[in-house]
Amino acid sequence: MKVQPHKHILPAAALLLSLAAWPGTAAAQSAPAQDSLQRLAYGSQPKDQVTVSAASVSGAELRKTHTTSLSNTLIGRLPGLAIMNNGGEPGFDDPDVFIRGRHTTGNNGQLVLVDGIQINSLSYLSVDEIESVTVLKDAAALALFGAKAANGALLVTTRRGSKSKKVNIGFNARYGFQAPTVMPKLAGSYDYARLHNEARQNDGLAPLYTQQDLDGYRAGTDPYLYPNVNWYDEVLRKSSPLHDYSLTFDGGGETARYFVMLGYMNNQGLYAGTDGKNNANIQFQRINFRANVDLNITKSLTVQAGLGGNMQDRKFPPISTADMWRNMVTYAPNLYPVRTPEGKITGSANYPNNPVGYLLEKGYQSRHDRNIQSTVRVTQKLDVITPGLEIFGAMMFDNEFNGRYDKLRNYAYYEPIRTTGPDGLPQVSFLERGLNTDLTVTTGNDYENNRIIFNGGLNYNRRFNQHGLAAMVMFQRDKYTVLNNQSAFAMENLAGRISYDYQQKYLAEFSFSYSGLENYPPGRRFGFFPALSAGWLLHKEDFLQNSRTISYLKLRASAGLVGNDRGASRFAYNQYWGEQSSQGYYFGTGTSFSPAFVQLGMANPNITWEKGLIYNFGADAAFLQNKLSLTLDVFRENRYDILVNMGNVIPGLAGIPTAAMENRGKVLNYGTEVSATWKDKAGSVNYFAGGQFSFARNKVTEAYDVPRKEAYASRQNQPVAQYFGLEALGFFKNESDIASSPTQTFSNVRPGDIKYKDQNNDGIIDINDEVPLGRHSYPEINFSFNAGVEYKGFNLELFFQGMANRTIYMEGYLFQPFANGANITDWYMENRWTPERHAVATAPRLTTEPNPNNYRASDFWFRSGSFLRLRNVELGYTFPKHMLRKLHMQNLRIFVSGLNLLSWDNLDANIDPETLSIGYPVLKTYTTGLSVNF
Amino acid sequence: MRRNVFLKGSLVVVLTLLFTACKKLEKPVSSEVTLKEVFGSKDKAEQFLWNVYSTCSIFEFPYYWNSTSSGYYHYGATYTILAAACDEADAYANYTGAEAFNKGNWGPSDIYWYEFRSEFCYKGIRNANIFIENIDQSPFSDQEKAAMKAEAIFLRALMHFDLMQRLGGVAIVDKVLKVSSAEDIPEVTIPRSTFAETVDFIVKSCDDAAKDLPNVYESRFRGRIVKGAALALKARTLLYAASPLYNSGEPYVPVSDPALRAMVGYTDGYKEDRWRLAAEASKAVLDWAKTESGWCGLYMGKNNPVDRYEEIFINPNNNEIILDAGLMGTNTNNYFVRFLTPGMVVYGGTDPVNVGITFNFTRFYQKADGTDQVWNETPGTAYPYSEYQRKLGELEPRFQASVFQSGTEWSRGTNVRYHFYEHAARQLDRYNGVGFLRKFVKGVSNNSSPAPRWITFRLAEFYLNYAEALNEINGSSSEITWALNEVRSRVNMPGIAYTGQAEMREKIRRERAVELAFEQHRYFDVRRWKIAGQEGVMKGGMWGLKLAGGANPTYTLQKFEDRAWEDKMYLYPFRVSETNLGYIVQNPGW
Repeated sequence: MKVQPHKHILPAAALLLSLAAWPGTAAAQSAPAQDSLQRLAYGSQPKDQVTVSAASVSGAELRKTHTTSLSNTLIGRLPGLAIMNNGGEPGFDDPDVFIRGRHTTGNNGQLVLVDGIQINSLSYLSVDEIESVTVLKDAAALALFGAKAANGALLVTTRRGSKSKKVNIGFNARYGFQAPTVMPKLAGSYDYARLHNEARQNDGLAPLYTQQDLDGYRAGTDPYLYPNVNWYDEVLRKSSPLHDYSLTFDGGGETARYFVMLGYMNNQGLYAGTDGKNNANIQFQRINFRANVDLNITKSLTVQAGLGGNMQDRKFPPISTADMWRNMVTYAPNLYPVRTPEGKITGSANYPNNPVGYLLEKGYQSRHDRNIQSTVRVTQKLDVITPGLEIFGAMMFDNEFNGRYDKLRNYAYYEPIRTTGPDGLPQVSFLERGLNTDLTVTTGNDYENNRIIFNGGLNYNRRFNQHGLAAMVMFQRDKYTVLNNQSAFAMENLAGRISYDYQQKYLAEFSFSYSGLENYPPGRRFGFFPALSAGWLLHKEDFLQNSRTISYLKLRASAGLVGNDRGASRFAYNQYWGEQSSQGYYFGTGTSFSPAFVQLGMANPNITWEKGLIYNFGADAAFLQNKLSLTLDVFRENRYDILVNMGNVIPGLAGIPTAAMENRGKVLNYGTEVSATWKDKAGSVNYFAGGQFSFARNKVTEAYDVPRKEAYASRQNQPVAQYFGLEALGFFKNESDIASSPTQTFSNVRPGDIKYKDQNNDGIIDINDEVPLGRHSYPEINFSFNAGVEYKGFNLELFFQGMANRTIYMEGYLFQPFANGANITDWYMENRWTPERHAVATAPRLTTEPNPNNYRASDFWFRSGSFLRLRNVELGYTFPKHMLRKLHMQNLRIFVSGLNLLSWDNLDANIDPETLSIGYPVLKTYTTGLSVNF
Repeated sequence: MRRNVFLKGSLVVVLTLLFTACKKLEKPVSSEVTLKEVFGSKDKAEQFLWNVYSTCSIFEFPYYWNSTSSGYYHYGATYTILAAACDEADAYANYTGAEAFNKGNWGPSDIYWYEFRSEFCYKGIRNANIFIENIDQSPFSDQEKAAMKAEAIFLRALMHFDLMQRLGGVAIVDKVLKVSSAEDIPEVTIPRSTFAETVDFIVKSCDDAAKDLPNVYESRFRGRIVKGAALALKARTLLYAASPLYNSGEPYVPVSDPALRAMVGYTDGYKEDRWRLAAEASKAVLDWAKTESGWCGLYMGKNNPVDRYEEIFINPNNNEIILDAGLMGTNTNNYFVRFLTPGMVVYGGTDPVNVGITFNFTRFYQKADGTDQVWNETPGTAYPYSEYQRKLGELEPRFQASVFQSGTEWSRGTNVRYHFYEHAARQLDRYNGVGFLRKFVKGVSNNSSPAPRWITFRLAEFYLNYAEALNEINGSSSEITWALNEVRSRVNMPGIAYTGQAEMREKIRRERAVELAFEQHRYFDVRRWKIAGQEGVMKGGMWGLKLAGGANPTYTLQKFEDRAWEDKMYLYPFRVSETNLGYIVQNPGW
C-alpha cells in the first residue's frame, strides 16, 4: 500500500529523524564496548583502539529483513552506505551500492570481500551464513588496499563456531509473499480510443475511432472486434512466493570448533500461467553451504579453514525483463485480444510480441551459476622469539562458473484484420503471420572465473608499561583469471598497520600499502598509499572520569591517500596496432577477404589510477551509563587523476580510432554521518530506538566535458551526473502564445505543449538552453531510524528508511502515452492539458506523434526523489524456556514481518520513488517465520 | 623439534616473499606491433593499405548502423539507402534515418546518427595519411611504393569529396595529426577551407594519383584503385563544382559572413568555364576507358536488356565498374537483407524496413518504346488491378530490372509470381510506393555470398556527366545526343533527338535519374541542381499505388506522406560537438 503523501514529508521526516536521532540507535553501530572487536582490512582491532572510520552490522540484524539478496538487507543499516533498489526481479535484484556518495565521474564501485576474498556480487550469499558486514570509509581504514578501495570497502565475515558443551542446531524457516509496491493504472480500451481521438484532434488529424468503435469499446461485449486487454492482468498474478530455509550446526571444544550451514532459497516471479517446461516464470533458486572450522593444533599453532559454496539457478522467459514490462504498457488495450477464438496467440506485424505469447509460447532461458570458495589460514605464535609476535599465512581460492540452457522456439501468431462485412457491419478475421518451430536447445558456458590469493605476514602485539605497540605487516598476491580473457588480473600488495598507544588513552596509527597492478606501464605499476590516524579516549581523562553523563568519549582523526583503479581498460599504456578481422576489404569478384592491419585505440603511456586524499574526523560516545551511544564522522575527499575521455575535447578532424583516457578529472566529495542508539528498560519492557543520518555532496572540479556553447551548461562545478534540462514555463495557451514566444526547435509546437525559457535570449529554444536543474538520481542524504520494544517474549520492531536530495526524472513510456501506440496511465489521463483545462493541467496535451519538444529533460518532468519508507516491521514471540525444555528445544521463536509496506513521497504520479516502476517493480513482502534452536 | 622446523620454514617463506615481492608483476607476453614494424614488413604494410581501403572506400548499403569507434560504419541513411530520403523511394519502417530526413527532423545534434559522420571520413583520412607518410620506409620497390601511395592519395581525396558534397568547403587534412595528449589539441583544430580550395585539393590529388596508378590489376586484386577511378573522381568533383548550387552569384540561403560565403560556394559568380572543365574531365574518363584501360566499357553482355542492366549490379565481374566498395562480409549480410529486401520473401524476421519505389519516381520511366506512360488516375479512386499490371509492365527494361512490382517474380526466372495482397503473412502488403526495390538485391538470400557490392563509379555516369556539362556550354549537339543515346541503346531504348539547351537539360536529368536510380546520385543531384525545394522532389506529397485484394483486386493512387524541406538543407550542418569546439564555422541556417 502506498500512502499518498501530504506535500511536506521532508520536514516531517526531518523532525522524526531528529527525534529519533537524539535518543536514538542504529543497532548497526553497537555501542563501542571495550571488549568487542572491530573488523578491519586484513585483520581486526579492539574497538577501543580503532582510530579509523568503520561501521558494522551483525548478521542477526540483517536477518530481520526478508529479501533474497544480502545487499538489499543492508539498506539503511550502515551509516555512509547508500543502496538504490533496482526492483525485485528474482535473481537479478542486485541494487546499486555506494559508500559516501559519488567520488568520481568514473567508476564508483567499491571493494567487496568475503572472508578476505574479493567477490563481484553479494547476491549469492545467504544471510544465515553472515556474522557481520563492515563498511570501511576513510583513508586510514582503506589504505591497506592500495589502489583498490578509494570508493570504500565492504567486508563480509561469515559465522564461526564457539566453544560449547553440545552441538547447537538451529533451524530457520521463512515464507513470504511478494507483490509490487505500486503498479501504474492503465486505461481500458474505451478511454484509450476516446483519448486517442483527442490526441489526433490535437495533432490536427482526423479521429481514428468512429462513434461505432467507441460504443463497441464501451459496451465491451465483443472481445474480438472490440478487445479490451489489460496486459498486466493477463501476464501477472497478484503475488509471488519467496521462501527460504536454513539449518546450522555449531559447537566444539578446546581443540576444534565448527560452524556448518545449509541453506535453500526459492523466489518465484510475478508471471502467471507458466509450466516450467515449455515456458518459465522468472525464478531464482539458491542452495548455500558453508563450513568453517577452527583448529588449535598446538598451543601456539591455530588453523582456520573455511569452505563455502552455492548453486544458483535462474530461469526466465526469453525476453528481457525490461522489454516484457515495457510491452505490457506500450501494447494498447485494444490492439488485439490475447487469443483468437480458437485459442491461438495473436500478434501483429508492428506489435509481434504479444506479452502472453512471448511468455508462454516462446520457450525459456536459464542460467546456472556454481561458486565455491575456500580459505585456509595458519597462525603460529612466535613468543619464543619475542613475546607478542606471531606469523601467519593464508591461501584462498574462489571459483565461479556459469552455464546456460535455453529452450527457444518461434510461433505463428494471428493478426486481427478488420473489414466491413456484407451487412455493412465491421467484422474481424485473423491472418496468420510467422511460423511455428520446435523448441531448440542451446547450451553453453557464459563465463568462468578463478581467484587465487596467497598471503603471509607477521603480527606483533605487546605492551611495555604505558606504551602499547601493535603491528601487522603482510604480503599478498591476488590473481584473478577470467575465462577467455587473455591475461589474468594480478595485484601484489605489501601492506601494514602500526599502532601505538600511550596509557591506552592516546592512540596513533600508521597504515600503508605498497602495491602494484600489472595493468599499468612498467615503472608506474607500484604505488605507495600511506595513511595516518590518531585517537583520544577522553573519558579516561581525570576531568571526565567521574562524569555521570559521559560514559565513553573518543575523538579520532585521519588523513591518507588511496587509489581507485576501476574503469581503466586493459594495458591502456600500449599503443596497439593489429590485424582486425572485422576490418578489411574484399578484392576480386568472390569472397576473398583481405584483413586489415589497423591502429587500435590511442594509448596513454602515462596512465595511472585515480587518487583520493581523504580526511576524516570522528567521535564515538556513550552517555548515561551507556544507554545512549553516538557516533559521528565528518569527511572530505579530494579525488584527482580521474580518467576522462579525451574524445570529448579532441576534434573529429584528428580521425583517431578511440581517444585516450587521461588522468585529468577532479572531484571534491564531502559529508557527514551520524548514528545514535538509545537502549533502556522500563520495568519488564526493554526498548530501544536509533537513527542514522548520512550526507555526502560532491562537485566535479575538473570535468573535461564536451565543450558547451553556453557557460551555464558546463558540467564543471556541478555534482557528478547532475541533471540538465530546459526550464519549463508551463503550457502554450494558444497559437498566438506560440507566435509571441521564442521558437522551439525540437518539433512543431501546438497549444498544450511545454513552453520553455530561453536562457541565452537568442530567440530560439534548443539544447543550448539546458541548465542544471534538480539534482541527480542518487541521494545526498540517506537516513533511517528504528525502534523496538520487548515484553515477556513479545517483540515489535519498526524500521524506517529514506532518502533526500535526489531527483526523479519521469521519462519513458509511462509518461509518453500513444508514443508508438503506448497506453495511457491514470495520472496522464487526469492531468492532461486540454484548452478548457489550461489553468489546472499538469501534463502536456495528448499527441499521437513523436513529440521531442515535450518528451525531453526539463524541470517539468523532474520531481523530488525524497521518500520515507517503512522498510521493515517485525512482530515476534519467543516461547518461554520452561515450555521448551520438554521439547528439547533451547529456543523457539515465531514471527511475522513486512517489507516495504508503507511509503511517503512527493510524487504526484503513481510510481515507486525508488525505481519509478520501469521494469520489474519494487516489491513488498509479507513474511511468516520460525526459528528453532536445539 | 617438529615445531621448530615448522617455525623456521614458515619464517623463511614469509620473509623471502616479503623481500622478493613486488618485482614479478608484469604484463603477460603478447604479440604487440609498433608502427615501425607495421611498415617494416611488406605484408603488414599492405594490410595497412587494406585498412585505408576499408575506412575510405565505403559500402553504402545499410549493414552496420551502430557505429562504434572500431571503425565500421555506413553511409546511407540509417537502416536504409539514401534513395529513401529522396523522391526515388521510401523506407517502410518509421525508424530509419531516411524518415528523419523526410520529416525534416534532423540537424546539427543528430545528423551523425541519421546519415553520415564527418569524423569517420577523417578516420579514413588519418589512415591514408599514416600510410602516405610511412610507406617509403617499407621494403617495396620504388614503383610499387609510388603506386600504393597513389592509391592512398586517391582514397584520401575520395573522403574529402564525400565531406565536400555534404558540407561544402571542409578542413583539408593532408598530414597525420598528432594527438597523443590533450596538449596537442590546438594543432588539430584546423579551420575550414573555402569551397574552391577544397575542390582544388581533390582535383590536384586526382591528378597526382593518376600519374602513378595502373590501368588494371591481376584478377585477385580487381577492385583496387585504377587510373580511371582518379579520372572519375576528378570528373565528378568538377561536375559538382560547376553545378548551380556552387557555381552561382547567389548562395542557396543568404550568407552575411564573407568567409562563410566562400565555404559554401564560389564567390566569383557563375563561370561557364567550370562546365567546360567538367566536360573535359568526363570525356577523359570515356577516353581512358576506350583507348587506355584495355577493358572498360558499357556492359553489353546478356541478350535481354533487363538481364543486361540487372547484371551490372549483381555480378561484380563486369567491365563497366571503375570502382566499387568491397567492404561487406558475409556475416553482415543479414543487415542489408533485412533492410532492403521486401517483406519476408527473403528475410525471415518480423520487422519490415524495405525500400518502396515512389510513384513520383516511377513517372520518370518511359515505356519500352520511348513514349511516356499515361498516368491519369484520380487519387482515391479504385482501378482494376489488371491496369496496374499492364501499365507497370509496359515500362522500360531498367524499371523491370529495378522494381519488384505486384504480379511479378521476386527472382526473375523462377516463375514464382507474387500478388502482394495475397501475401500478408509474408508482409508483402507493407510498403510505400508502387513496389519494392529489386536493383542490387536480386537473387540474394539470408547469408548469400558473395554479397552485392556498392558501385562508387561506373562508366555510364560519365556519359551522362559529359552530356550534362556539354549541354551547359552549348557544346556539340551530336556529341550530347551521342553520349545520352549510348546509355539508352545499351538497354534497347530508342534514341533521343536534340531539342535545344533547356529541353535537353530536362531530358538529361531524367535520363540520369533513370539510369543511376537508387545509386545515391539523385539525392545529391537534386541538391546541386538546386531543385530539391520543388513540390514532389524533396518537399511535398509522395505517392504510391495501393492494392486491395478480394474478388476483384484494385489499385488506388494514394499519397503516403508529405515531406519537409528547407533551403538550409542544401548543405548539412556540422555536428554540434564539433562546432562547440570553436574551430569550425557552422553552415548557414543551422
